[in-house]
Amino acid sequence: MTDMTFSIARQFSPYPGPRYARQGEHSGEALGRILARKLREPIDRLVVELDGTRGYGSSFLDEAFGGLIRVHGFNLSDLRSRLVIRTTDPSYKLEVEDSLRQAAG
Amino acid sequence: MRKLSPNTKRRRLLLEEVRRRRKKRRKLSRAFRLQTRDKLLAERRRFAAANDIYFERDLRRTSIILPSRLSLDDNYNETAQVFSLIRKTVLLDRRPATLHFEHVTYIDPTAALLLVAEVFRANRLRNAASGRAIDGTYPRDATVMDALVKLGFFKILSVPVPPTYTGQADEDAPIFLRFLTDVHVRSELIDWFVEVIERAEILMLDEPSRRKLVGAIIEAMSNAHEHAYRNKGDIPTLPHRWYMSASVHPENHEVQIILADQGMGIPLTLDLSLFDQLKASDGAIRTLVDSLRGKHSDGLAIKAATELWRTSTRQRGRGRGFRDMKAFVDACPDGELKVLSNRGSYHYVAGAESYADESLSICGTIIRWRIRNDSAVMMKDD
Repeated sequence: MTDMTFSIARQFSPYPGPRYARQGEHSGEALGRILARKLREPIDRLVVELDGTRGYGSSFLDEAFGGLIRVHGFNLSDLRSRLVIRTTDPSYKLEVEDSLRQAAG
Repeated sequence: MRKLSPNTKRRRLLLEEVRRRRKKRRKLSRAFRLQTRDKLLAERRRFAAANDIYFERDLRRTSIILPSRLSLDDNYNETAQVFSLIRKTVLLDRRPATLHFEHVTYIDPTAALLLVAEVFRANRLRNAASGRAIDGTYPRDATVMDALVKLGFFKILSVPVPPTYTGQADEDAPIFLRFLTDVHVRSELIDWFVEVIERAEILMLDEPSRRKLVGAIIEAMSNAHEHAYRNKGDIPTLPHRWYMSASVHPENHEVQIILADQGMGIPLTLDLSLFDQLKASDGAIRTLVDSLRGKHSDGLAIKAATELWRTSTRQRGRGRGFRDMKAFVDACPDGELKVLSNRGSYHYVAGAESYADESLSICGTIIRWRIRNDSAVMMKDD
Protein backbone atom coordinates (compact mmCIF):
# COMPACT_ATOMS: atom_id res chain seq x y z
CA MET A 1 0.00 0.00 0.00
CA THR A 2 1.46 3.38 -0.98
CA ASP A 3 0.74 6.29 1.27
CA MET A 4 1.67 9.90 0.64
CA THR A 5 1.89 12.37 3.51
CA PHE A 6 1.19 16.06 3.00
CA SER A 7 1.83 18.53 5.81
CA ILE A 8 -0.09 21.75 5.37
CA ALA A 9 2.29 23.67 7.67
CA ARG A 10 5.46 22.48 5.94
CA GLN A 11 4.38 21.95 2.34
CA PHE A 12 1.68 24.63 1.92
CA SER A 13 1.87 27.39 4.53
CA PRO A 14 2.01 27.74 8.33
CA TYR A 15 -0.49 30.61 7.87
CA PRO A 16 -3.57 29.20 6.10
CA GLY A 17 -5.71 32.02 4.76
CA PRO A 18 -9.21 32.64 3.39
CA ARG A 19 -11.54 30.50 1.28
CA TYR A 20 -10.85 31.87 -2.20
CA ALA A 21 -7.59 32.84 -3.90
CA ARG A 22 -9.04 36.26 -4.77
CA GLN A 23 -9.41 37.02 -1.04
CA GLY A 24 -5.76 36.55 -0.15
CA GLU A 25 -2.72 34.31 -0.06
CA HIS A 26 -2.64 30.65 1.04
CA SER A 27 -6.33 30.07 0.31
CA GLY A 28 -8.40 26.93 0.74
CA GLU A 29 -9.04 27.03 -3.00
CA ALA A 30 -5.28 26.80 -3.67
CA LEU A 31 -4.84 23.94 -1.21
CA GLY A 32 -7.82 22.12 -2.78
CA ARG A 33 -6.09 22.22 -6.18
CA ILE A 34 -2.90 20.75 -4.68
CA LEU A 35 -4.79 17.99 -2.84
CA ALA A 36 -6.78 17.12 -5.98
CA ARG A 37 -3.55 16.79 -7.96
CA LYS A 38 -2.04 14.53 -5.32
CA LEU A 39 -5.17 12.37 -5.13
CA ARG A 40 -4.96 11.79 -8.89
CA GLU A 41 -1.46 10.35 -8.53
CA PRO A 42 -1.16 6.55 -8.31
CA ILE A 43 -1.30 6.30 -4.51
CA ASP A 44 -3.57 4.36 -2.19
CA ARG A 45 -3.96 6.97 0.55
CA LEU A 46 -3.20 10.64 1.05
CA VAL A 47 -2.46 11.50 4.67
CA VAL A 48 -3.02 15.23 5.32
CA GLU A 49 -1.44 16.60 8.50
CA LEU A 50 -3.27 19.64 9.86
CA ASP A 51 -1.03 20.30 12.88
CA GLY A 52 1.70 22.92 12.98
CA THR A 53 -0.20 25.86 11.49
CA ARG A 54 -1.17 29.05 13.33
CA GLY A 55 -4.93 28.39 12.96
CA TYR A 56 -7.62 27.69 10.38
CA GLY A 57 -10.81 29.47 9.44
CA SER A 58 -13.68 27.07 8.78
CA SER A 59 -14.10 28.44 5.25
CA PHE A 60 -10.52 27.49 4.42
CA LEU A 61 -11.10 23.87 5.46
CA ASP A 62 -14.49 23.80 3.73
CA GLU A 63 -13.06 24.98 0.42
CA ALA A 64 -9.96 22.78 0.58
CA PHE A 65 -11.78 19.54 1.48
CA GLY A 66 -15.43 20.16 0.51
CA GLY A 67 -14.08 21.62 -2.75
CA LEU A 68 -12.61 18.21 -3.62
CA ILE A 69 -16.21 17.07 -4.14
CA ARG A 70 -17.83 20.33 -5.34
CA VAL A 71 -15.06 21.57 -7.63
CA HIS A 72 -12.76 18.66 -8.44
CA GLY A 73 -15.39 15.93 -8.87
CA PHE A 74 -14.27 13.39 -6.26
CA ASN A 75 -16.95 11.34 -4.54
CA LEU A 76 -17.45 10.95 -0.82
CA SER A 77 -16.87 7.20 -0.61
CA ASP A 78 -13.61 7.47 -2.59
CA LEU A 79 -12.37 10.26 -0.29
CA ARG A 80 -13.38 8.35 2.83
CA SER A 81 -11.19 5.46 1.77
CA ARG A 82 -8.24 7.43 0.35
CA LEU A 83 -8.06 10.63 2.38
CA VAL A 84 -6.76 10.44 5.95
CA ILE A 85 -6.85 13.51 8.20
CA ARG A 86 -4.25 13.59 10.96
CA THR A 87 -4.56 16.20 13.71
CA THR A 88 -4.37 16.50 17.47
CA ASP A 89 -7.30 18.97 17.44
CA PRO A 90 -10.52 16.96 17.16
CA SER A 91 -12.54 20.08 16.18
CA TYR A 92 -10.64 20.34 12.87
CA LYS A 93 -11.30 16.66 12.08
CA LEU A 94 -15.02 17.23 12.69
CA GLU A 95 -14.91 20.35 10.53
CA VAL A 96 -13.39 18.46 7.59
CA GLU A 97 -15.87 15.60 7.96
CA ASP A 98 -18.75 18.09 8.08
CA SER A 99 -17.48 19.86 4.95
CA LEU A 100 -17.21 16.60 3.02
CA ARG A 101 -20.72 15.51 4.12
CA GLN A 102 -22.27 18.88 3.20
CA ALA A 103 -20.51 19.00 -0.16
CA ALA A 104 -21.78 15.51 -0.98
CA GLY A 105 -25.30 16.74 -0.18
CA MET B 1 -3.95 107.68 -43.15
CA ARG B 2 -3.49 104.16 -44.46
CA LYS B 3 -6.57 102.56 -45.93
CA LEU B 4 -7.48 99.26 -44.31
CA SER B 5 -8.29 96.23 -46.36
CA PRO B 6 -11.79 94.72 -45.89
CA ASN B 7 -10.23 91.61 -44.29
CA THR B 8 -8.32 93.61 -41.69
CA LYS B 9 -11.44 95.64 -40.90
CA ARG B 10 -13.43 92.44 -40.37
CA ARG B 11 -10.70 90.99 -38.13
CA ARG B 12 -10.61 94.12 -35.94
CA LEU B 13 -14.37 94.15 -35.59
CA LEU B 14 -14.29 90.50 -34.59
CA LEU B 15 -11.59 91.11 -31.99
CA GLU B 16 -13.57 93.98 -30.55
CA GLU B 17 -16.66 91.78 -30.32
CA VAL B 18 -14.67 89.05 -28.56
CA ARG B 19 -13.30 91.57 -26.04
CA ARG B 20 -16.80 92.91 -25.35
CA ARG B 21 -18.19 89.43 -24.77
CA ARG B 22 -15.31 88.47 -22.47
CA LYS B 23 -15.90 91.58 -20.36
CA LYS B 24 -19.61 90.77 -20.11
CA ARG B 25 -18.88 87.14 -19.13
CA ARG B 26 -16.44 88.27 -16.38
CA LYS B 27 -19.05 90.65 -15.00
CA LEU B 28 -21.71 87.92 -14.94
CA SER B 29 -19.32 85.38 -13.42
CA ARG B 30 -18.44 87.76 -10.54
CA ALA B 31 -22.11 88.34 -9.81
CA PHE B 32 -22.71 84.59 -9.88
CA ARG B 33 -19.85 83.92 -7.50
CA LEU B 34 -21.13 86.45 -5.00
CA GLN B 35 -24.64 85.02 -5.24
CA THR B 36 -23.37 81.45 -4.76
CA ARG B 37 -21.24 82.50 -1.81
CA ASP B 38 -24.26 84.06 -0.08
CA LYS B 39 -26.32 80.98 -0.81
CA LEU B 40 -23.63 78.67 0.61
CA LEU B 41 -23.27 80.80 3.74
CA ALA B 42 -27.00 80.72 4.32
CA GLU B 43 -27.07 76.96 3.80
CA ARG B 44 -24.15 76.49 6.17
CA ARG B 45 -25.84 78.64 8.81
CA ARG B 46 -28.99 76.45 8.56
CA PHE B 47 -26.93 73.21 8.67
CA ALA B 48 -24.95 74.40 11.69
CA ALA B 49 -28.11 75.39 13.54
CA ALA B 50 -29.86 72.09 12.76
CA ASN B 51 -26.90 69.97 13.85
CA ASP B 52 -25.80 72.04 16.79
CA ILE B 53 -22.31 72.69 15.47
CA TYR B 54 -20.07 75.72 15.43
CA PHE B 55 -20.85 78.02 12.48
CA GLU B 56 -17.70 78.91 10.63
CA ARG B 57 -17.73 81.76 8.10
CA ASP B 58 -14.83 80.11 6.29
CA LEU B 59 -16.61 78.50 3.38
CA ARG B 60 -13.93 75.95 2.84
CA ARG B 61 -14.46 73.86 5.99
CA THR B 62 -17.33 72.62 8.14
CA SER B 63 -16.63 72.38 11.86
CA ILE B 64 -17.77 69.22 13.60
CA ILE B 65 -17.67 69.37 17.39
CA LEU B 66 -17.10 65.94 18.93
CA PRO B 67 -19.00 65.02 22.14
CA SER B 68 -17.23 64.59 25.46
CA ARG B 69 -17.73 60.79 25.38
CA LEU B 70 -17.03 59.12 22.06
CA SER B 71 -18.41 55.69 22.79
CA LEU B 72 -20.72 53.26 21.02
CA ASP B 73 -21.37 51.51 24.35
CA ASP B 74 -22.70 54.32 26.54
CA ASN B 75 -23.18 57.29 24.19
CA TYR B 76 -24.34 55.60 21.01
CA ASN B 77 -26.53 58.31 19.52
CA GLU B 78 -24.15 61.25 19.86
CA THR B 79 -21.23 59.14 18.65
CA ALA B 80 -23.08 57.70 15.65
CA GLN B 81 -24.30 61.24 14.86
CA VAL B 82 -20.68 62.42 14.53
CA PHE B 83 -19.85 59.66 12.04
CA SER B 84 -23.03 60.42 10.12
CA LEU B 85 -22.04 64.12 9.94
CA ILE B 86 -18.56 63.26 8.66
CA ARG B 87 -20.06 61.05 5.94
CA LYS B 88 -22.65 63.65 4.94
CA THR B 89 -20.26 66.60 4.90
CA VAL B 90 -17.22 65.07 3.27
CA LEU B 91 -18.50 62.19 1.17
CA LEU B 92 -21.96 63.34 0.08
CA ASP B 93 -21.69 67.16 0.12
CA ARG B 94 -18.00 67.05 -0.86
CA ARG B 95 -17.02 69.69 1.70
CA PRO B 96 -13.87 69.52 3.83
CA ALA B 97 -14.40 69.29 7.57
CA THR B 98 -12.53 70.15 10.75
CA LEU B 99 -13.00 67.81 13.73
CA HIS B 100 -12.94 69.64 17.07
CA PHE B 101 -11.60 67.38 19.83
CA GLU B 102 -11.48 70.06 22.54
CA HIS B 103 -14.37 68.62 24.59
CA VAL B 104 -13.51 64.91 24.24
CA THR B 105 -12.58 63.37 27.59
CA TYR B 106 -13.15 59.71 26.75
CA ILE B 107 -12.85 57.61 23.60
CA ASP B 108 -13.55 53.89 23.52
CA PRO B 109 -11.57 51.55 21.24
CA THR B 110 -14.56 50.75 19.00
CA ALA B 111 -15.47 54.40 18.40
CA ALA B 112 -11.78 55.21 17.91
CA LEU B 113 -11.40 52.59 15.17
CA LEU B 114 -14.58 53.76 13.45
CA LEU B 115 -13.30 57.34 13.57
CA VAL B 116 -9.99 56.28 12.05
CA ALA B 117 -11.85 54.38 9.32
CA GLU B 118 -14.06 57.37 8.49
CA VAL B 119 -11.09 59.74 8.28
CA PHE B 120 -9.07 57.23 6.25
CA ARG B 121 -11.89 56.80 3.73
CA ALA B 122 -12.69 60.50 3.52
CA ASN B 123 -9.09 61.52 2.90
CA ARG B 124 -8.70 58.76 0.29
CA LEU B 125 -11.87 59.60 -1.62
CA ARG B 126 -12.12 63.35 -1.31
CA ASN B 127 -9.10 65.50 -1.92
CA ALA B 128 -10.15 69.02 -1.06
CA ALA B 129 -8.63 71.86 -3.07
CA SER B 130 -7.82 73.59 0.22
CA GLY B 131 -5.90 70.59 1.60
CA ARG B 132 -7.04 67.44 3.40
CA ALA B 133 -10.71 66.51 3.29
CA ILE B 134 -10.63 66.16 7.08
CA ASP B 135 -8.38 67.84 9.58
CA GLY B 136 -8.83 68.54 13.25
CA THR B 137 -7.78 70.19 16.44
CA TYR B 138 -5.66 68.39 19.05
CA PRO B 139 -7.51 66.89 22.05
CA ARG B 140 -6.94 68.61 25.39
CA ASP B 141 -7.36 65.41 27.40
CA ALA B 142 -4.02 63.58 27.80
CA THR B 143 -5.61 60.07 27.78
CA VAL B 144 -7.53 60.80 24.57
CA MET B 145 -4.40 62.26 23.01
CA ASP B 146 -2.42 59.16 24.00
CA ALA B 147 -5.10 56.84 22.55
CA LEU B 148 -5.14 58.69 19.22
CA VAL B 149 -1.34 58.84 18.98
CA LYS B 150 -1.01 55.08 19.65
CA LEU B 151 -3.82 54.25 17.24
CA GLY B 152 -2.01 56.11 14.44
CA PHE B 153 -4.75 58.72 14.00
CA PHE B 154 -2.35 61.62 13.39
CA LYS B 155 -0.38 59.54 10.89
CA ILE B 156 -3.40 59.21 8.58
CA LEU B 157 -3.96 62.95 8.88
CA SER B 158 -0.25 63.48 8.11
CA VAL B 159 0.02 65.89 11.03
CA PRO B 160 2.80 65.74 13.62
CA VAL B 161 2.23 64.67 17.21
CA PRO B 162 2.21 67.91 19.25
CA PRO B 163 5.42 68.67 21.14
CA THR B 164 3.43 68.78 24.40
CA TYR B 165 2.70 65.03 24.12
CA THR B 166 4.90 63.16 26.57
CA GLY B 167 3.68 59.57 26.27
CA GLN B 168 1.32 57.34 28.31
CA ALA B 169 -0.74 59.66 30.50
CA ASP B 170 -2.01 57.19 33.05
CA GLU B 171 -0.59 53.75 33.90
CA ASP B 172 -4.07 52.23 34.12
CA ALA B 173 -5.41 53.83 30.95
CA PRO B 174 -6.12 51.49 28.02
CA ILE B 175 -3.25 50.94 25.60
CA PHE B 176 -4.39 51.22 21.99
CA LEU B 177 -2.64 49.27 19.26
CA ARG B 178 -1.88 50.93 15.93
CA PHE B 179 -4.70 50.24 13.48
CA LEU B 180 -4.18 48.01 10.46
CA THR B 181 -6.06 48.16 7.18
CA ASP B 182 -5.93 46.23 3.92
CA VAL B 183 -8.09 44.89 1.12
CA HIS B 184 -7.00 41.25 1.39
CA VAL B 185 -7.23 38.61 4.10
CA ARG B 186 -3.76 38.53 5.64
CA SER B 187 -3.36 35.49 7.91
CA GLU B 188 0.34 36.15 8.58
CA LEU B 189 -0.51 39.68 9.70
CA ILE B 190 -3.26 38.34 11.98
CA ASP B 191 -0.80 35.98 13.63
CA TRP B 192 1.68 38.82 14.19
CA PHE B 193 -1.13 41.03 15.54
CA VAL B 194 -2.19 38.37 18.08
CA GLU B 195 1.46 37.97 19.05
CA VAL B 196 1.72 41.73 19.75
CA ILE B 197 -1.40 41.57 21.95
CA GLU B 198 0.01 38.56 23.81
CA ARG B 199 3.07 40.58 24.81
CA ALA B 200 0.88 42.53 27.23
CA GLU B 201 0.51 39.26 29.22
CA ILE B 202 -3.23 39.62 29.66
CA LEU B 203 -4.34 37.49 26.74
CA MET B 204 -2.84 34.20 27.84
CA LEU B 205 -4.43 31.61 25.60
CA ASP B 206 -3.61 27.93 25.28
CA GLU B 207 -2.64 26.76 21.79
CA PRO B 208 -6.12 25.52 20.65
CA SER B 209 -7.82 28.76 21.84
CA ARG B 210 -5.19 30.86 20.13
CA ARG B 211 -5.77 28.96 16.88
CA LYS B 212 -9.51 29.56 17.32
CA LEU B 213 -8.89 33.31 17.72
CA VAL B 214 -6.77 33.43 14.55
CA GLY B 215 -9.47 31.43 12.72
CA ALA B 216 -12.21 33.77 13.97
CA ILE B 217 -10.34 36.89 12.78
CA ILE B 218 -9.66 35.26 9.38
CA GLU B 219 -13.41 34.60 9.03
CA ALA B 220 -14.38 38.14 10.06
CA MET B 221 -11.87 39.58 7.58
CA SER B 222 -13.09 37.22 4.85
CA ASN B 223 -16.68 38.36 5.40
CA ALA B 224 -15.60 42.00 5.04
CA HIS B 225 -13.80 41.15 1.80
CA GLU B 226 -16.40 38.86 0.26
CA HIS B 227 -19.82 40.11 1.36
CA ALA B 228 -19.71 43.58 2.91
CA TYR B 229 -19.16 45.55 -0.31
CA ARG B 230 -21.22 43.34 -2.62
CA ASN B 231 -23.91 45.94 -3.29
CA LYS B 232 -23.40 49.64 -3.87
CA GLY B 233 -25.10 52.17 -1.63
CA ASP B 234 -25.34 55.97 -1.60
CA ILE B 235 -22.13 56.38 0.37
CA PRO B 236 -18.90 55.90 -1.59
CA THR B 237 -16.73 53.08 -0.26
CA LEU B 238 -13.25 51.63 -0.57
CA PRO B 239 -14.17 48.10 -1.71
CA HIS B 240 -12.97 45.05 0.27
CA ARG B 241 -11.30 47.25 2.90
CA TRP B 242 -11.20 46.20 6.55
CA TYR B 243 -9.81 48.03 9.58
CA MET B 244 -8.49 46.29 12.68
CA SER B 245 -7.25 47.41 16.04
CA ALA B 246 -7.00 46.23 19.62
CA SER B 247 -6.71 47.69 23.06
CA VAL B 248 -5.29 46.32 26.27
CA HIS B 249 -6.87 47.48 29.53
CA PRO B 250 -4.44 46.83 32.39
CA GLU B 251 -6.92 48.02 35.02
CA ASN B 252 -9.75 45.69 33.93
CA HIS B 253 -7.34 42.95 32.83
CA GLU B 254 -9.08 42.74 29.51
CA VAL B 255 -8.31 42.87 25.83
CA GLN B 256 -10.54 44.11 23.04
CA ILE B 257 -9.98 43.10 19.43
CA ILE B 258 -12.02 45.02 16.87
CA LEU B 259 -12.51 44.57 13.16
CA ALA B 260 -14.60 46.98 11.10
CA ASP B 261 -15.75 47.46 7.53
CA GLN B 262 -17.73 50.24 5.80
CA GLY B 263 -19.87 48.04 3.60
CA MET B 264 -23.62 47.59 3.26
CA GLY B 265 -23.99 45.95 6.67
CA ILE B 266 -25.16 42.43 7.51
CA PRO B 267 -28.92 43.26 7.48
CA LEU B 268 -28.72 44.43 3.85
CA THR B 269 -26.59 41.55 2.60
CA LEU B 270 -28.44 38.74 4.37
CA ASP B 271 -30.40 36.62 1.91
CA LEU B 272 -33.38 35.20 3.82
CA SER B 273 -34.07 32.65 1.06
CA LEU B 274 -30.96 30.79 2.28
CA PHE B 275 -33.06 29.70 5.26
CA ASP B 276 -35.69 28.04 3.06
CA GLN B 277 -34.00 24.65 3.29
CA LEU B 278 -33.78 24.54 7.09
CA LYS B 279 -33.92 21.15 8.70
CA ALA B 280 -37.08 20.19 10.55
CA SER B 281 -35.15 20.21 13.85
CA ASP B 282 -34.37 23.91 13.49
CA GLY B 283 -37.80 25.15 14.55
CA ALA B 284 -36.42 28.02 16.62
CA ILE B 285 -34.45 29.43 13.68
CA ARG B 286 -37.50 29.07 11.45
CA THR B 287 -39.52 31.15 13.92
CA LEU B 288 -36.69 33.73 14.01
CA VAL B 289 -36.60 34.04 10.22
CA ASP B 290 -40.40 34.21 10.02
CA SER B 291 -40.45 37.10 12.47
CA LEU B 292 -37.73 38.83 10.41
CA ARG B 293 -39.88 38.52 7.30
CA GLY B 294 -42.71 40.18 9.20
CA LYS B 295 -40.83 43.16 10.63
CA HIS B 296 -37.65 45.07 9.93
CA SER B 297 -35.03 44.72 12.66
CA ASP B 298 -31.30 44.99 12.06
CA GLY B 299 -30.54 43.37 15.44
CA LEU B 300 -32.71 40.37 14.56
CA ALA B 301 -31.07 40.17 11.12
CA ILE B 302 -27.60 39.92 12.73
CA LYS B 303 -28.86 37.20 15.05
CA ALA B 304 -30.27 35.32 12.05
CA ALA B 305 -26.91 35.69 10.23
CA THR B 306 -25.14 34.01 13.15
CA GLU B 307 -27.39 30.99 12.66
CA LEU B 308 -26.85 30.74 8.91
CA TRP B 309 -24.40 27.85 9.31
CA ARG B 310 -27.32 25.62 10.30
CA THR B 311 -28.77 25.83 6.81
CA SER B 312 -27.66 23.05 4.50
CA THR B 313 -28.10 25.06 1.33
CA ARG B 314 -24.61 24.22 0.10
CA GLN B 315 -24.22 27.93 -0.47
CA ARG B 316 -20.51 28.43 -0.07
CA GLY B 317 -19.06 31.23 1.94
CA ARG B 318 -21.98 31.96 4.22
CA GLY B 319 -22.56 31.14 7.83
CA ARG B 320 -19.37 29.45 8.95
CA GLY B 321 -17.71 32.73 9.93
CA PHE B 322 -20.03 33.53 12.83
CA ARG B 323 -19.78 29.97 14.10
CA ASP B 324 -15.97 30.43 14.36
CA MET B 325 -16.37 33.85 15.98
CA LYS B 326 -18.66 32.39 18.65
CA ALA B 327 -16.49 29.25 19.05
CA PHE B 328 -13.61 31.44 20.23
CA VAL B 329 -15.84 33.08 22.85
CA ASP B 330 -16.92 29.60 24.02
CA ALA B 331 -13.23 28.63 24.36
CA CYS B 332 -12.49 31.60 26.66
CA PRO B 333 -13.32 31.49 30.36
CA ASP B 334 -14.62 35.08 30.23
CA GLY B 335 -15.20 36.32 26.71
CA GLU B 336 -17.87 38.12 24.72
CA LEU B 337 -18.64 38.94 21.12
CA LYS B 338 -20.41 42.10 20.05
CA VAL B 339 -21.51 42.76 16.50
CA LEU B 340 -22.76 46.19 15.43
CA SER B 341 -24.11 46.42 11.92
CA ASN B 342 -26.09 49.37 10.55
CA ARG B 343 -28.77 50.02 13.21
CA GLY B 344 -28.52 46.64 14.90
CA SER B 345 -26.42 45.18 17.67
CA TYR B 346 -25.89 41.59 18.74
CA HIS B 347 -24.24 40.45 21.94
CA TYR B 348 -22.97 36.94 22.70
CA VAL B 349 -21.44 35.46 25.83
CA ALA B 350 -21.06 31.72 26.28
CA GLY B 351 -24.57 30.30 26.26
CA ALA B 352 -26.48 33.61 26.17
CA GLU B 353 -27.23 36.07 23.42
CA SER B 354 -29.25 39.24 22.93
CA TYR B 355 -29.92 41.77 20.23
CA ALA B 356 -31.14 45.38 20.00
CA ASP B 357 -31.96 48.10 17.49
CA GLU B 358 -30.64 51.66 17.59
CA SER B 359 -32.07 54.75 15.94
CA LEU B 360 -28.94 55.66 13.93
CA SER B 361 -26.93 53.54 11.53
CA ILE B 362 -23.15 53.18 11.66
CA CYS B 363 -23.25 52.33 7.91
CA GLY B 364 -21.04 49.28 8.16
CA THR B 365 -20.14 46.46 10.51
CA ILE B 366 -18.01 46.22 13.64
CA ILE B 367 -17.04 42.94 15.25
CA ARG B 368 -15.55 43.12 18.72
CA TRP B 369 -14.23 40.40 21.00
CA ARG B 370 -13.69 41.29 24.62
CA ILE B 371 -11.63 38.85 26.67
CA ARG B 372 -11.15 39.22 30.40
CA ASN B 373 -8.44 37.24 32.08
CA ASP B 374 -8.98 36.71 35.80
CA SER B 375 -5.87 34.57 36.12
CA ALA B 376 -3.89 37.56 34.82
CA VAL B 377 -5.56 39.57 37.58
CA MET B 378 -4.42 37.10 40.21
CA MET B 379 -0.91 36.76 38.82
CA LYS B 380 -0.40 40.50 38.60
CA ASP B 381 -1.89 41.09 42.04
CA ASP B 382 0.33 38.36 43.55
